[in-house]
Formats: sequence, structure tokens, C-alpha cells
Amino acid sequence: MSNDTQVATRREPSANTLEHTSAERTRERVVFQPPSDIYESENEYVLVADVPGASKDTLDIDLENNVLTIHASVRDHTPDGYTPAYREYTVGDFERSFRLSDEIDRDSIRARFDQGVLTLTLPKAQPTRKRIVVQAT
Amino acid sequence: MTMLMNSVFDLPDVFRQLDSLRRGFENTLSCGSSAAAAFPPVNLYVNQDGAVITAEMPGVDPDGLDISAVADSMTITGQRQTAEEEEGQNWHRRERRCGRFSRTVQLPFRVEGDRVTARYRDGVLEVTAPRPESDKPRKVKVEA
Repeated sequence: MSNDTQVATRREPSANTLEHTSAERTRERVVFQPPSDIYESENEYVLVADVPGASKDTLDIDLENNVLTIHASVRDHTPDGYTPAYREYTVGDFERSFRLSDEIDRDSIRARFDQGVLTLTLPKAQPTRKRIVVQAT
Repeated sequence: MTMLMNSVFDLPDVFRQLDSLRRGFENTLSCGSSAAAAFPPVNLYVNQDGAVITAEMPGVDPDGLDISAVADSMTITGQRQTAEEEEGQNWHRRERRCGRFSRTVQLPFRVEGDRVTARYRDGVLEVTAPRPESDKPRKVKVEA
């Protein structure tokens, strides 16, 4: 499993190099790459991404041609009637794509969202073994 | 020849030492490559009634958060769940921050520590800190 775009921290807007996502957005908004953990165990890959401010309904997980794309729209949580005095982060959407290896069982991918953290479980496909019988003539 | 034999037999030990060194490094650096930035990032908003602090801290147990306001400074302390380390786990990427954190924010005015309220939703913390009535700006009427 490898990442298509360069590793960027949360503060850097995502540089989209993927052709199928290079279309411009209708809404003018900053898009960030969520910091992610990926680990592999014997039976599965687990991808954990930080998407604070997103909600279950605004999450989009898409799998197309082995490219897994996570998109999360984030609600603007700027409080009403207040003036910004100091800023360490900008509210924006999250998007990131990962290229999956062939060995993923694509039909059994599970997603969980809890307190701004998205966890994707990607089970490894069982190797399909087919015995070829050589027929004697 | 014996010298050579010795050094050959020592090799696995060297590798073991290197491996433990590597592990040591990995443990200290195990929590995210974005470790340089302060965690959690905070934003501060003000108006004449008080201040609102928002902080992006996904995956934090709100019950374990400690928020305190003293005079004109606010401190938020908490813990982010450490990823479970299991035998046979192979890490490909480790960018998320974990462990204990503490942030202190200097406010432009004093706030009432007793009336501070906080809300945690979808990984974003919002703390509202009102100013004491006596400190609020007052309009002065000019008498003719």
C-alpha cells in the first residue's frame, strides 16, 4: 500500500496529483490531508485518519481502480458573534488517497467513525489457489 | 583465523544491538511525524462578553480532559489514546499524535473560572470563558 500524493502535514493544503480528482470544487475551501496511521497485521490492514470536525454523514469513502479516497466535509465551528484573536489552524475539508495493493478483500472493508477519528479495516484477501491438473494424453 | 571466526560469530550480536537501538528510536518517535507542531492546535475568539477557545483534538476521551482557567490564562490537559502495539504488527505510516498533552493559552483579559463551560463534538473542543461583569467594557455617556 502506498500513498499517491506526497506526505503533507495537517497544515499544508493537499496537493492533488490524481487525475480523477483534479476537477475544481464549486465551493472555495481549503482541503487538508489528514494525518494517518497505517499498520498491517496478519489478516488485515488498518488505516486510522484524523478528521476533526467531520461527521458520519459528511464522510465519503470511495474505492475506484484500487485507489481508496477519503473525503470529509468539515462544518465550520467558528463561534457566532466572536472575532478571531489568535489562530493556529484553519477549518477546511479533508481529502487523501491511498493506492491499495491487490491483496485486499475489497468487499469486506469496514469503516468506523468516532470522535473525529476514521478507522478503516481492510481485510487481506485469501489467496485463491487453484489446482491445475495436468492431463496426460 | 580465530579472530575472523570470532568476529563472524559476533555479528548477530551487533545486529541485535543495532536493532535495539532502532527500536529505541522508534519508541521515542512513535507518535506521529508532525510532532513539531503544538498539539492540539487552538484558535481563540473574543468579544466583549468573553472568549471562546476551539481546539482540534480527535480521538480524545472528554472525561479525561482537564480544563482550568486562572485569571487570564487557560490550560487544557488531556491524553490521546496510544495506538495498541501488538506482536506481529507492521507499521507503514505513523503520523497521528498520541500521548499526554497540555496547552496553556494566554487570554487578552481575565475570565471567570467558575463559569467556564466546555463542549466536545466530533473531535473538536470548544471552551467558552465569560468575563467578570465588573471587567466588561462600559459605554460612557457624554453629558451635554
